[in-house]
Amino acid sequence: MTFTTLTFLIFLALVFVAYWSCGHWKVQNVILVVASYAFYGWWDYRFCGLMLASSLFDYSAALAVHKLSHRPARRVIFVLSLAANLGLLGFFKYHDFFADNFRVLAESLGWTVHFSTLRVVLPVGISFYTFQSMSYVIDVYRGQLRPTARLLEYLAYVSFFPQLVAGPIERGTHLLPQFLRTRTFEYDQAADGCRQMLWGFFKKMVIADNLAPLVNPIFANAAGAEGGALAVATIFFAFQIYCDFSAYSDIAVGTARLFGFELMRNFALPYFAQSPGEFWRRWHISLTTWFRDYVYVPLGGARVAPGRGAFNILLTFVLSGFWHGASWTFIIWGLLHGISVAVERLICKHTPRKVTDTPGGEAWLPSPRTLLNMALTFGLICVGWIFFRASTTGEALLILKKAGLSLLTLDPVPWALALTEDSPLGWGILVLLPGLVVIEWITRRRPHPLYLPGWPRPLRWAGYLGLIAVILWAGTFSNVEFIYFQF
Amino acid sequence: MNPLRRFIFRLLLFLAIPASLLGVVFGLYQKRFPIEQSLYAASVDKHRLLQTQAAPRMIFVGGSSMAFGLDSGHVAGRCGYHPVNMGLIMATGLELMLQEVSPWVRPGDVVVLSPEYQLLERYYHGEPEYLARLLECHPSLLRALSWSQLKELLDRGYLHHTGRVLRTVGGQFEGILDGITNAYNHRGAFNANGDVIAHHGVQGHREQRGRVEFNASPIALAAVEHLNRFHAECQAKGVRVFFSHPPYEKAWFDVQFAAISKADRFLRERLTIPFLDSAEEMTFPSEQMFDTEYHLNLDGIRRRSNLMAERLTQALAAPPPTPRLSSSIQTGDKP
Repeated sequence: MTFTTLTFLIFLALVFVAYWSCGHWKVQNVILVVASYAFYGWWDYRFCGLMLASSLFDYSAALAVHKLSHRPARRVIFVLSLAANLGLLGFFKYHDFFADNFRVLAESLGWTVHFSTLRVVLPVGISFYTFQSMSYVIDVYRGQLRPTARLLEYLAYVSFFPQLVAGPIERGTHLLPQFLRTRTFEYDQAADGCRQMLWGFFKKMVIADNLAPLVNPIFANAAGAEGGALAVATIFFAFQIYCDFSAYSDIAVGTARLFGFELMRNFALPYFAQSPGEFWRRWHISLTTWFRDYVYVPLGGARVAPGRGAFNILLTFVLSGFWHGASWTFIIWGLLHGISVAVERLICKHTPRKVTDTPGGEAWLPSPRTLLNMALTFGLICVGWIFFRASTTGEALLILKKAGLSLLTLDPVPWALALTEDSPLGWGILVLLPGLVVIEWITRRRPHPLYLPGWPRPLRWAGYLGLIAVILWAGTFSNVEFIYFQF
Repeated sequence: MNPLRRFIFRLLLFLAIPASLLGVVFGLYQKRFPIEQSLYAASVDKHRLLQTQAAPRMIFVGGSSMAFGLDSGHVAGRCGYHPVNMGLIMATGLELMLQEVSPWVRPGDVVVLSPEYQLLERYYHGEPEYLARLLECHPSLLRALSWSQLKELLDRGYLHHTGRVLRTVGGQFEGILDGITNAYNHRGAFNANGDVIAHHGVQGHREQRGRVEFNASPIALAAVEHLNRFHAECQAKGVRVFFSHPPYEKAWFDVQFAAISKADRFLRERLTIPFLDSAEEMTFPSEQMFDTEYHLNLDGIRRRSNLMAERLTQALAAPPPTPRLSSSIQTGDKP
């Protein structure tokens, strides 16, 4: 079930009523598990079996790891659990990639191999719930988390429908305890959850989905497209993927708050970042911190020689790229970011900005230096998006070359105007994008732009109604799934 | 008031505002495009005819090319049948076209299928926003929808429909989806047999032509299986089924030749239904076309109707062939 459907709104209303009609948290958890599996099975009921099997395995593994006092036995169970999770991902997500590359490699060596690809259907959200489940077992193994013996609560933790298919990837230490206590309905939390959902719907249906038909044809015909068009399409894609993915997180966080849960923040205005490192502290935070805690830090993190530290960063980013998809373009995307973050770490001596710092500084307007830093970082991120979006490495290099050359001639400006003529919103999209940047800048100290405490209710309600009208008027209701569902 | 009740009360109070505004918008829309005069309301008339037409009937199934491109009375009359033209609009999907007719065919009937090429893949399930509009005008068709169509309708169809109504009332006119766009796209444009006649003698305003894309996808396989299943069900009831290619503008046919040939080959390899004609035979010069590459003017209608009547007369004179197994069964281990 996708958030941006009428089915989801009806489903949400029914689950909300059923959930709060039950006084006891254990019954509420039963409702959440049933609702979450129904939500997931709406795509394909067969996926539910896979998620259940994965959950049961990790639940048992975590209990066994905790109970066993014999250290080697604990380690065997732990490794088995990791292998099962990675094997699941490997089979569904990476089998064909390795099969194709193995065949190409063998043929280049003159061998003839018959290694068939399976073209298996990738279950929606498998990368997200597998990582969430894996982090639980790792935390238990490290002694940072006491495993729950309550199976139902564990199933609820893995399958919790607001964040099931595209995150935020939660940790057992944060989310699981919330399933093991009484939840009371809090008006402010629920009301603000609705506002955050509304903002998410606006970003996804009005901005991201209206940019998709402008971006897709150009990337689909990169060889024939003009450099200016490719440059504009890349910038549009940067906004599309941000509005798409951050919208999903907003709707997920908002939905969870309706049920008394707090999920972690997944996006903190990443395009206001002034360096690649800061960008990654603000973009897809739950995944970045996952890789930091479970890959980068165990490798030695920054507490090693600078060269080794740079290698750790590179490896972490390459793995992160590979997590996104079984393709060389994602690996190169990860590598590019790894290089930029490693270089920043090696040459910049100032204390890195934290995710909790106000992006762009406290001043009302950014200084020219801040603006320049933001623009340079955004440009670098856009180079990465070319690899992320292109079908092949060759195509990405071609786009990079053509788009880069066009920037020297200011060719993208007329292209931006020409492209938007085909958009249902017309030039409106060119107003919306700077508008979004301005709104996010003004409200950057708040959890989301619709958090407007102190505003009189009639004014707030008028704003919400305006947004609903814009969503219905300009929203796209064709079958546009969230981009991150494919991962 | 406890926080939960306060929340629900305020939420309902807030939602009452957009709901009331939407009520006004829908009221304005209904005033401008009354449901009962809509093109889609012609579906009600067609179903009434399907259920009441005297036997034996000749039932024509397809999209708007069937509505705009056939004198069904002439074709059925020459073959000794009573006509029922079910053609309405391509975007409602081949799946629904077959499902809405299937329960009503009776022994001795003849069904002529002439789906537009896009119906074999892109429009097989239909577009949810068109289905929403069709159901608004003809609610009892809900029973003919498949599970996947219902799901799409609930997921996106009604939201899309609401947005479109809002845009139309706001002045952004969207044409055919509203169902009353001009003198020949409305309920009154059809005659008693279900043919559009309001465009006879009218100079059509040429619209942009649509591309045919055919990828032989799983949807196309599902479409052909559905056609074969429909054929088998009809045969079991003593109903003969024929396939006729849709009328198509010759000049545009040449441009789309590769895709159309691919679709045609795909059909000929898999379909159990006998063909009345070839894709080339059903191409027409631009002078015989009306407003789209599928819609014929009166000259074109005469030519197509005569050709179809001739082929049907020959086909019906021959005894019905022994039922052929569908390709999906033929490729199995045993029949």
